[in-house]
Amino acid sequence: MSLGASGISIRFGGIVALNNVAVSVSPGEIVGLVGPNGAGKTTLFNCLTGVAQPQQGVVQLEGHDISRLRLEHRIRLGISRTFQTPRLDLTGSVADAVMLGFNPRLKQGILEACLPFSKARATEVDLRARAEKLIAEFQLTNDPDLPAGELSLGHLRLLEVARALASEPRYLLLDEPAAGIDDVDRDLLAQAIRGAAARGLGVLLVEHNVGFVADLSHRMVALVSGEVVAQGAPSTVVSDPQVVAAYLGVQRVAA
Amino acid sequence: MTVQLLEFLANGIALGAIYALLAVPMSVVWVTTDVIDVSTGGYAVVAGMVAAVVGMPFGPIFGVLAALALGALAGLVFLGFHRIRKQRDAMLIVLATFALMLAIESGVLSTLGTDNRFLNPLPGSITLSGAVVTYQSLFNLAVSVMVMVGLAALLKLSPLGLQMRASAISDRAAMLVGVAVRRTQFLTFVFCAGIAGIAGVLAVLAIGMTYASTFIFTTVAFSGTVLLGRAGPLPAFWGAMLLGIVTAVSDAYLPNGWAAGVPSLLIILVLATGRMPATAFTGARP
Amino acid sequence: MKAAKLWTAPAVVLAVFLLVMLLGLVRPSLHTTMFTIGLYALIAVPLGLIYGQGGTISIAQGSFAALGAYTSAILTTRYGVPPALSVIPAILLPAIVAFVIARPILRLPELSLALVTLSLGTVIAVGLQRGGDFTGSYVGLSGAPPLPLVGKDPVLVAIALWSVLLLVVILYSHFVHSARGRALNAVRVDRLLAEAMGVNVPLYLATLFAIAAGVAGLAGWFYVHFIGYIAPDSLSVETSAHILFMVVLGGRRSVLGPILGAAFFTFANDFLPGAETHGLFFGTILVLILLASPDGILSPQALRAIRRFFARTIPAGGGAPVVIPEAKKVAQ
Repeated sequence: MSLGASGISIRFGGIVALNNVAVSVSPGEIVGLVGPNGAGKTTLFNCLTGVAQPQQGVVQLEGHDISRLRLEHRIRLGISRTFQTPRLDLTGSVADAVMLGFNPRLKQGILEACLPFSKARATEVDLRARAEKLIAEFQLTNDPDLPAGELSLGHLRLLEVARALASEPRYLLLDEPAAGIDDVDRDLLAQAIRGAAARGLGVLLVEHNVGFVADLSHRMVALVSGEVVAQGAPSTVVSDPQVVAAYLGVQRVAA
Repeated sequence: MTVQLLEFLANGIALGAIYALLAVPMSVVWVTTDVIDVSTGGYAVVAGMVAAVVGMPFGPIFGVLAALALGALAGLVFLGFHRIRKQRDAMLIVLATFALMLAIESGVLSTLGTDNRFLNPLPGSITLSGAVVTYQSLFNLAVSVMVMVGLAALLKLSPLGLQMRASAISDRAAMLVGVAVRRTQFLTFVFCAGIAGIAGVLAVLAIGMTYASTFIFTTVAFSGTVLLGRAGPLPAFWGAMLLGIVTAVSDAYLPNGWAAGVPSLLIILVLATGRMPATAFTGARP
Repeated sequence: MKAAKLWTAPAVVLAVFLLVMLLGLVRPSLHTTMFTIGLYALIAVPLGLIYGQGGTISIAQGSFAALGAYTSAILTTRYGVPPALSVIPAILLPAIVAFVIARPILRLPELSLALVTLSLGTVIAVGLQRGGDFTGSYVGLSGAPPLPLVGKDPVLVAIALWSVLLLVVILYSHFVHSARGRALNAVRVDRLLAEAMGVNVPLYLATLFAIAAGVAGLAGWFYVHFIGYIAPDSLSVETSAHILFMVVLGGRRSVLGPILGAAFFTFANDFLPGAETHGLFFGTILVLILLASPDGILSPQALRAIRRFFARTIPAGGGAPVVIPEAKKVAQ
């Protein structure tokens, strides 16, 4: 029971982005994916979610081969992801941005959406309430109707995570959620990730901040120049000479 | 049978020569500015109409000058959008050029009415392998090729051409290395309008035109541009030639009048199947 | 507050309609003008939905209306089908054509899509023009029977047309404030985002495209059975361009925008001297609007300003429970 990719190789033009990479995450597990810029972390995410098609390799979800499925199909199967730069409607409200996250689990027909006095109205009220809870949980803002563009970058990243959790996915893929956010928000984020794992989600986390990831993960995978150079317990991976060399200049993580 | 085919081919090439001078400028503007100048057809019609009204020998000159002036207007609109709206959204500017085309078409209609206008073409023809080819057709082809050569020289050899190519790759990057991008783009609008003006003059000599030709010319320019235009002016030229031949041949073989739909059909087929590499993987959006 | 969001637009439409129809008692030509505006609005509002909410431009709405009109004209004049029945194929044929052509083209970037829909409109127009006796060629078809129930009475026809328009506005307003509407907005903002939220973008857009075409077909049906005939020039590629103009000018992000645009266009047509100068006028206006406010007259900013104005001058209470949001909003 897991979400995983194996034997993934992908080339863009002449550049080999990933070479025979394998990674997996099981329910309740937090897996940290680290590596320097350009190592291929986001590309791996894209292969897992269907945004990119590897030339070789297989992506499987709980035993089923999903390599051929499009992104939106995989999302509806219970995978949720965030992006390196937050993608959302900055002119819309924070509440609307979070409510969008409920979409994968909703089954609302166009007709139902159009008709007055239909179930859609009750759904809106329900979604709004749930969104407000999430907004409160992540301490995003006191005013859910605030335009999303007025949130700080840190809060925007938290919003993306909140939105990704809204659909109650089985697997959560977070692409650098902690980049550029302050300590308070980072703690909130860590709390949310632990909470999600405790609820049985499998979390795959890409991060630059090795300390943050090592603290949080059950397991880590280090990617350098498109290849897996180390994996296992955080302490092992963090002290692996190849990983250290790749992160030359970065402080060693205190145990 | 083959004599007929040869004649259709000749007609097609003559037509293609005019089409090329519509598609190539539109494609050059597109590559340099990310904007499709919908008023390209308008420049051609204005040039042709002015030429017809003024008559030989100065008509064509005034016609092209008028086209250049309108191109400058379009260029100003383009600059205006970048200045006022700091626009990264090409679609709005395209809509603005569409508005310009409406205005041009209406202007022509108001001042010159609905009459078909033409200039007397070059008299006479020669016979090649039994096919009758008019001197006007040969002239059109010659002019078209000369313009292409001139354009190629401009793009490859002149400083302006270098700036245009730099702007085409990335306007931001070009600005950073000191290219006067906006001025270059403005000039691009202007002389591309001139090229379209030449097309209009050739058209008014060869086939005549009315105010309604505006839309037809623009559609032709779209077609040629869409076929291969993203890849550069030379592919656009061949694309337009191909379009001219296909139109002429289908005009001959299809039931009456259906050939009018050929450029549009081609646009749909090419874009819907996404076959043409020029539009598929450039990364920059058309 | 929620109720206000959903019913404001329909209420405005109803109020304006009643007002103008009353004025029409004094000036009967207004009734026919209302027909024209209503017709254009019926074709334009769905474009507002797919373009303003979904970011998907289309310059084919006029041609879909023509398809609907011709379908009904042929069925009623050649095969004796009553208009009350021919309305169904008049809606379905454009919808099916739109759906079929949509799948391959809706993944195209905006500009290419505009080109393709324009070309589609041209091909349809050429087909109708060269359809020989079947479509009446250049002359078109005449002798279409009058509309069921309302016949040729301008007042009744206007009422029927605007009732349909009102229904469309109600459905649109509710749609926009639903989860599906939110999903459509996401498509406009960022397709990858929409897909990451589980939206099957191609299918969704194709469906809406087809619905827009179907409504246009319905407008075509109204047209041909009220006017009595249809020619290639009546609802042509030019019409599609005008419809786009109405949506862009009036405001593509609001349901009322296209209706405003339709009204502006129709009145301008009536009052401008000489048909030849219209292009100059509309072209200039379009450029100015695009420069000043790309989202048209009823842009989101303009609507917010209007709402703030009313919220200040009309006190809360009386009617639906209202929470005054203004107290929370910091001045912008």
